Amino acid sequence: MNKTKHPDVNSAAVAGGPGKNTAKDVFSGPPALQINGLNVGYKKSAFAPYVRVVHDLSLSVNPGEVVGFLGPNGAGKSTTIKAIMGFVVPEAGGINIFGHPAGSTQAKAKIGYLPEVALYYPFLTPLETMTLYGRLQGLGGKALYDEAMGLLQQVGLAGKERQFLKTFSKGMQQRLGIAQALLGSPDLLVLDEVSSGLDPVGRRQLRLLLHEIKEKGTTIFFSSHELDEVAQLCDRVLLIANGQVVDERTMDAALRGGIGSALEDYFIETLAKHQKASPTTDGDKAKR
Amino acid sequence: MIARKLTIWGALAQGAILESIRRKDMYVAVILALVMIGAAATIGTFGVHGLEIFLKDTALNVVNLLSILMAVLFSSRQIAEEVSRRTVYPLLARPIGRGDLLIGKFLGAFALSALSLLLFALVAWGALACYGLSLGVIFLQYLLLRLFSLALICAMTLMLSVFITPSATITMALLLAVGSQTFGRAVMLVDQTVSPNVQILLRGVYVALLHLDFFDMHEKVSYGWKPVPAWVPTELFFYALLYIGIFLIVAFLRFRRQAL
Amino acid sequence: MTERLQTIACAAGILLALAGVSGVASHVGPIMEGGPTGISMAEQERVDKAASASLLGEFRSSTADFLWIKVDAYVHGGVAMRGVTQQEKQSGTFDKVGSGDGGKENGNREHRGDETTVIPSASHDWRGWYGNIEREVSPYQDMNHHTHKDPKEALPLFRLMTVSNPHFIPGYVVGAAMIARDHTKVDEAIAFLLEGAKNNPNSIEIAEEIGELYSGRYKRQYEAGMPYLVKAIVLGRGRDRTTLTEDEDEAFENAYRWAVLNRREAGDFAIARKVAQEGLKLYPEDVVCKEFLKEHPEQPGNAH
Repeated sequence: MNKTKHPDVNSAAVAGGPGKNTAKDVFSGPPALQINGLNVGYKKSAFAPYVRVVHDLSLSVNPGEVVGFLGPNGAGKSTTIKAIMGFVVPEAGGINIFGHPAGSTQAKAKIGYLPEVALYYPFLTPLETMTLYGRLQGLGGKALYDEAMGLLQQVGLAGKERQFLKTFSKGMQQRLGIAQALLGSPDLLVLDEVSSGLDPVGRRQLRLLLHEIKEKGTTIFFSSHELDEVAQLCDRVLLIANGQVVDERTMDAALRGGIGSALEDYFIETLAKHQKASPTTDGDKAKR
Repeated sequence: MIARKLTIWGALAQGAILESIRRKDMYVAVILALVMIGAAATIGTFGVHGLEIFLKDTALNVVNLLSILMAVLFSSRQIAEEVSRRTVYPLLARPIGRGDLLIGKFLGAFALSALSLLLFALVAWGALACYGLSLGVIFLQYLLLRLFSLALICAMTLMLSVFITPSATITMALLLAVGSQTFGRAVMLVDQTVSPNVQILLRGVYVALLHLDFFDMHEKVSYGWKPVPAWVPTELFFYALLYIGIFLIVAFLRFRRQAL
Repeated sequence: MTERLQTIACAAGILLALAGVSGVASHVGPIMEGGPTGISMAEQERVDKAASASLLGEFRSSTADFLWIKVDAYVHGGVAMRGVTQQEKQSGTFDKVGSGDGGKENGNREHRGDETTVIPSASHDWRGWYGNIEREVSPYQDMNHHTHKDPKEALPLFRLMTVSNPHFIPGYVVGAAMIARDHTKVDEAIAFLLEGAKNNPNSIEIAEEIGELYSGRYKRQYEAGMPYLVKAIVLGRGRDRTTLTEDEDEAFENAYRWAVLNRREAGDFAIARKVAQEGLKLYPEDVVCKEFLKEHPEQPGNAH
């Protein structure tokens, strides 16, 4: 398992390009995301056995990086992201966001989060939803209103600010989800299955938006099954399987080439190698 | 710090209130109140002078019952629905604690319950006023104590909702809300019949039990008693505050470690 | 699975709680033998006297019962009462309930010293603050020599009671007594009772009450009243006295008394004497019969 961390020397952030993070920030400040020896598990009910979903996972994301978090279904991606957000309490291990422990208000103040399944209040409008989240974020007044309206326009929901969300399609709700994740210009974007539900037009718009955000120097950590967008956006990819990081790779020209097919090949081959190296039974059940 | 907390709680409560009002939860209850009180009032064909007590009693019983029901229904779904609908994720992704979420939701449920109570009280007052019946100043005290009890019921139901499923929460909460008086009376009846050890145990249970019946003055209102002295609602306010604190703390201790 | 388990656990909890309350109630005497399913006076009395009935409060099976409780609560200002327990009877440590303004003769329910308030007084209450609060928020007062609220306002409820259950005798009897408190409405009271007699031809109380109203000072229609008093006596004679309820027994005794008074006022001393003698055999302590026989002893020449 290659755990070498390679900050991409070609990334705009490292080169001191436009954005809020300079090379000094990248190399001297705390990592945007640092996970050490994470173990997370669940019990489906009081009498069910404990199932460990993430095993001894460690990773690091530097400020300004865009890191793709890839893996097959059930690999532990969403669980890892939930642990980053403080939605689950790890059995062991530590997570820090810009030096603050995961789940703390200081950490959450720096994060913009898009959940895997984006569901919002059916009887609120997008503007009311954004206002609610903005107020929780510590924003308010006209500044919040302007930012909310701007973001809604940016994600293609202009003109629909005052419609009830129960009338929104899945794709439209996903767009709202992206907008609310960007509220308050977070330092770290954590996106779980970001393109889920979006039509091709929406995906392209999203890609452009994420590029813009990346240019500003925002750190992005996202999981996706859309290898095209991973190939185009990411500086680095982490491959997770059976709750462990099995490989990580800096995105180079070779991986980016072939409209994702090279990345797809890498994905499939690496996973296959991992399966051969450590065969597992169905579900890795660890009894507590 | 306090201003920030109030902003957070206020925003959460406002969201809960808007959702519920637009979902038209309360409209059904108000219509039900109108129907029930109206049906009782039609007995006025027998001659209303003898039925003043009966009408007041019925109207206030309807207000009691429906307000308890609404409080339980509003509170039971606050956290449970957030989790089941997954709307809790974007909420808790904000720089707020789980305790803030609990308090915000409690305030939202309480505000909705209070609004429902006032609507039902208005219906009752209106129906009685049609017959020239008035409820007196003691009615305001009744409403105040009712508000305290609704806050208690909301906190208790919210606490139950983080432990058990919504349907079980509603069952348990209604049972506790309606049955506490019966248990209290039973303890008093058997107090002299049991052994000293059991007596101590029963008395301890009695003291620990939440006495929601202390917040129900509808009989005094119906039978035209004078208002109670000020120390009564004051001390009951602190009694309510104590139990609300206990319920919310227990809920927080459970909720803070819950995997979402 | 979890939801099913929790629902089962809740149902089990509810059943346990009900069992607990029943278990507690079963220790409180007098024992309630069978639940109140109808309105026979025997069962009504048992229900009224069962302390455990106060646990379930107004959980009654008929509208008439429910309204009776409402009227009873009304005239007592909402103060809830219950029968005393065996322990309280033995120790005598309970707050006594007694009327300060007359019993049935004034249209009020009789208080026979076997009742107490559900909420105890401070001197009989171990609860301290809790008891003080309950005495403030619930209707409560010292009921030892209490006066009743004017029951006139509850009259329509009596009408409702008898409409919902034509065999609810207290509805007729107490209702009529309350109507008759307005002396200009004695005829109305009698009419109400006659309707009750039609629905309850074997009721000692209704027959006696009609005879009493006719014979009383506001009607003085002795000939009209005597047949009803005789009917009440005949009905009482036809029953095993041990099966009579307290109200029926009292009405039976009153029938003798009023028959004596009726015949005395009508000048028919012979019949009055016979009635008094028979009455004393059944009720040796009856003052009216004793006094009459003392004032009008049997002498040669006035035996018939």
